[in-house]
Amino acid sequence: VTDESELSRVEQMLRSTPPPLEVPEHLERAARGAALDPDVTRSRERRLARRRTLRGRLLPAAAVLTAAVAASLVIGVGGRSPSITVVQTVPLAARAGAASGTLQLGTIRGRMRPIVLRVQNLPAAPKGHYYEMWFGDGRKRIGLLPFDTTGGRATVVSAIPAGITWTACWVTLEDYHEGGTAPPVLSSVGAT
Amino acid sequence: MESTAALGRLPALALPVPVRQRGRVARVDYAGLTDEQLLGRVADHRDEDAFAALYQRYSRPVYSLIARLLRDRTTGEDVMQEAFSAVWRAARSYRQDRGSVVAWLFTIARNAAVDAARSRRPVSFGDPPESIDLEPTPDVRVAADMEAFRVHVAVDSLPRRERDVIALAYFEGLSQSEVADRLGIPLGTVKTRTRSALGRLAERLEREGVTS
Repeated sequence: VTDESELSRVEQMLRSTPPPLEVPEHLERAARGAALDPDVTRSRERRLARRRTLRGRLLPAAAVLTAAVAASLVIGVGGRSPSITVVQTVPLAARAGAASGTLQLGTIRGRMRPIVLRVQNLPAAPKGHYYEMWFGDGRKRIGLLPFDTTGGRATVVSAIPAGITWTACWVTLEDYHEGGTAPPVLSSVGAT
Repeated sequence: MESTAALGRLPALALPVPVRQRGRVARVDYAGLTDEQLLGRVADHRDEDAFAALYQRYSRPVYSLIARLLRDRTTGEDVMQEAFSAVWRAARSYRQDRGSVVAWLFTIARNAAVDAARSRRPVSFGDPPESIDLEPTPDVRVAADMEAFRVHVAVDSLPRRERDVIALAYFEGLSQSEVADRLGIPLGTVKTRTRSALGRLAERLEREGVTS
């Protein structure tokens, strides 16, 4: 027999868990083949190695930085209750549509500053796309915070390097493969 | 002599192997085997059907974890293959006394994703800041990933009709009335299935040490 409080905890856990993704059908055969057929494994490893080599040649410093960013910045996406000491809240508004949000900045810890991004009424990114939060000062810009929404909402608990200077932040819809400079779907008030 | 049908009711910790009887191989009920039994069959007998059964149980949570960590489904597919290759190769390294199969699979999948992330191209940025914290991923993030993985595993272990109700209500955000409309079943049935599913999930997650 499970008591009501336990059921409530499970419900909260479900609500704060990002939805699972459907596995492409072709992957089962590929994954099974990769595991059972050493030739397939070697071929895949060569492909991955080529990809690593190419990218390593083109973007060595960038790859290291991005790995660090990917590993150290995004702490969680979902509805969890974040626990940071908020020292500043930046409102985000859409240039069109009903989307809105806030970016809360916490107290700097070491070289990082915790943040909580909340958005509402922002439809889930179309297939092959994701949202990304950017920071910039008019000359430089840096994309740091990839996320997606569920039911139009997202709460992203993360951290940004404390050393970056920025005067505006904004959210763009990005293509998985292209990256680039998509126009903002949300931006801090007053940002251009 | 033991009948073929009786082989489907194996002791919980037994590692059944196909038994040849008068030229026929008795069928193993893979769906009824525990994770440890399936992994044991992969390790000891290189049993491809046991491997397939593990894939069926865990492919969605593993894929979801990898895609979420990499934020790139194309690379995620390669990493998914790498992760399950590692399961096949490293099955013998699993030790039950060190943790559950769920935790072992999580570690394998996460390591595969982190390895891939190290070689990814950057998303995009202008001039990078001079100093970036290169410390390993914070524990809090690993814990959140692990919790999501375990919740996905638990949801996937539900009977199909309960799983559908839970997915629509909690992952797609539908109300119970909307779930009833979507599935074409009475509202009372939705409530019954939801409660039953939540009970199963509570038990499963407590076994995994997530809610206790």
